[in-house]
Amino acid sequence: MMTLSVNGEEKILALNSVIADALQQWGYQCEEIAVAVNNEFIPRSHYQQHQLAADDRVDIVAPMQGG
Amino acid sequence: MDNRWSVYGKTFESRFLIGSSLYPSPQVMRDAVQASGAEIITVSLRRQSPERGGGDTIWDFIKQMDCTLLPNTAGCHSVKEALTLAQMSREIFQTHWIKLEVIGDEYNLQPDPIGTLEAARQLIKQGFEVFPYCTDDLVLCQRLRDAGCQVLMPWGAPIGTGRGLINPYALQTIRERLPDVSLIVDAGLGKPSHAVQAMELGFDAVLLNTAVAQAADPVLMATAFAEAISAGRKSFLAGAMPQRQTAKPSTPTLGTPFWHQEGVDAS
Repeated sequence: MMTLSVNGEEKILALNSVIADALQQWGYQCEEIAVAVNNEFIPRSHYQQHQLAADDRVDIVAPMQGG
Repeated sequence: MDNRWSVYGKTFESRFLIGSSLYPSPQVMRDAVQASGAEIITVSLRRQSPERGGGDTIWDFIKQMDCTLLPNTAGCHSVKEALTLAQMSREIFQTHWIKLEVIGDEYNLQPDPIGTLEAARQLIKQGFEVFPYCTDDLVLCQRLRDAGCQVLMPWGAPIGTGRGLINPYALQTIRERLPDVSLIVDAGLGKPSHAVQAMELGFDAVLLNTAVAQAADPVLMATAFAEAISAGRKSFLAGAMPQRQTAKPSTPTLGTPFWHQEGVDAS
């Protein structure tokens, strides 16, 4: 197992997990999210290939109101 | 009178761009946007917990409205943050449009001119159509135009202050020096009279949020701003009379009774 940061909170994840695994484990089911890892945008098409690593900083965002 | 205007190849009837934040409720937001007649609405991305289901009530309302989305990079303090958030926005909102905000000072939320220019250059290279929120510095606006921005959004005043146009001279100079760029006053407006002033300077449109959302009656205020923007545009097109130093009577003096008849009792 490894520890990483998801939206500023610590989470545990199995080694060698890809983003798609992580989103499923953490309960993200909605299509309307976008992901960045260590401040780099990860396109949806890469979710099945992009392996997460220990201490990665993952940001998961969704649409909101804005000014 | 043809009131249409275009930006990045899209043509709009309304010159009112409206924000979707800070309303008392999603229903009031929807009603205010409808009352405004705005065709462009700003949205954002924020961290989301899975418990929220990846969605947001206001976002559900926004999706139901027939508005063009203008995602922003609000809250970004670096070029890198803005670039990443813009890429995330493009994937979710399926638009190349981005309202670029790179904040340089936390106290007054003043845009970072250097960071904004650098981010604009990089985003344009990546195929984005950039709406830069910027200060009212003429040379910065010229550089943003040179970088490929077809629209510029100088502030009227710091975000959320409601102070109106704190430097009309600077905004007027930008209008005069950049006649072929779409100009939108973004941020700082508080009252419809501020919007009239912006439009009378020849700006193409106005973007605001707090002035409507935080009004005692947001729906009525949205209507007031819409009418003000329309009035200001018409005033600009009509051409105001020049100011004079001295009074000049509007009623003809020829034939004025009692003229030069000192000593006559007119009572």
